[in-house]
Amino acid sequence: MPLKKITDYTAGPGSIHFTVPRNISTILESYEFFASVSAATNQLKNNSITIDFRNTAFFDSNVCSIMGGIIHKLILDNNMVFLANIEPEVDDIFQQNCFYSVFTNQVQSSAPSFNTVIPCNKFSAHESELYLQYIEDELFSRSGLLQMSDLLKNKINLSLLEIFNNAHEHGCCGELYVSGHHFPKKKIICLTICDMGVTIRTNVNSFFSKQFKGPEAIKWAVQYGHTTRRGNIPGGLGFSIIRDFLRVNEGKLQIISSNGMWEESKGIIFDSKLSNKFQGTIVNLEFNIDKKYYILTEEVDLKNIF
Amino acid sequence: MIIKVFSIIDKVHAVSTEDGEKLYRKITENFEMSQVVELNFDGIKLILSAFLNASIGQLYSRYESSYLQQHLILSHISNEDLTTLKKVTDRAKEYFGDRKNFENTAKRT
Repeated sequence: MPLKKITDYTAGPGSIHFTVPRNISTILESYEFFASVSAATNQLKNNSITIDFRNTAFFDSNVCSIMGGIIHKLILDNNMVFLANIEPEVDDIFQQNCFYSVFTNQVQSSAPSFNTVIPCNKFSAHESELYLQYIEDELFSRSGLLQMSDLLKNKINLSLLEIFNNAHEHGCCGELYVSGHHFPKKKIICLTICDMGVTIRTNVNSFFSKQFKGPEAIKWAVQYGHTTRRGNIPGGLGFSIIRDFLRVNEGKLQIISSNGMWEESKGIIFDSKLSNKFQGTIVNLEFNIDKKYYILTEEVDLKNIF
Repeated sequence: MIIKVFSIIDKVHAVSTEDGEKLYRKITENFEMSQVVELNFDGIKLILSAFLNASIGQLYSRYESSYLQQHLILSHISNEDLTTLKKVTDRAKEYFGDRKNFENTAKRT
């Protein structure tokens, strides 16, 4: 098995190891950490890599998908990965959200005992039906977990599918990792999706034959009508549809790709250039599930639709 | 001619570009015979923009808006999905309009 948990690990000279920060969540510092690991290990093959959790006290369940994407790439490149000195609190999160079993291809538990944890899972391009089943089982069907309108469920489903579609179509990624967390007090659910495919920056740079910085490339890609696809099928709607919905829902969208981080939260945009390049794309979506966030849709005149 | 979307894609989720292309081919086959097409979305639970781009947005590469207004009818589709479809058709008109302008400019220069 190319993934092992170890204890009492001390880094020796010349060993390849990374020390995970104390708090891992969807904050800039955590993304900087993931980008540093991704950049440093991108070319590694046939090595042993240790990820040391000795300082880590908090690890949000939804962020496990990012760790999953990074480890998946390392294993594909024939590396051995050691997860060292995992504190019991963090180990509980990893156990409960089935993080370890993603790598052993064991059957996932459909009802983790922490009912706020949305398990980590992976999906390939042709598995959109399995992905939808996962969202239905792990997000919508858990009794008592989420009470939301069918319209809101539909919008969340479509947002998650847009990301799935983008990752496979533009990122050309093999596997896509997803995990989530429900914050009952805040009435928020977070879902984080990670792929280790072609970055947004690479796609945009190749489309324009120019060198955009990471945040600029993302900023371009999230605009209405912007797509790097050519040919007879129009595009460039996926991110704008998600953004329109999240503005009404007062949710949050974060995108990390290459050395760019871009975020829109309650209509406020923030971006930052990371110190290292994440070799893939992370999308974090935060949905407000408070009943007051109903969506009003305008009537569409069928006669004028074409 | 009534085309049941479900019978073309054999799924309740109209999601992928590939399935959209299947529907696109079916629609254009009928347009070639100058038939009016009714697209019936009965039984379809989710419709993604990627599917609509490939199935309906792509039609604007060959047909004008006025032709589609006369030859394409939609049934059993929710107002929510119509909102997405409106974005797709608006975007398709811009996309192919821009491409024609670009090609004309390229020819002139």
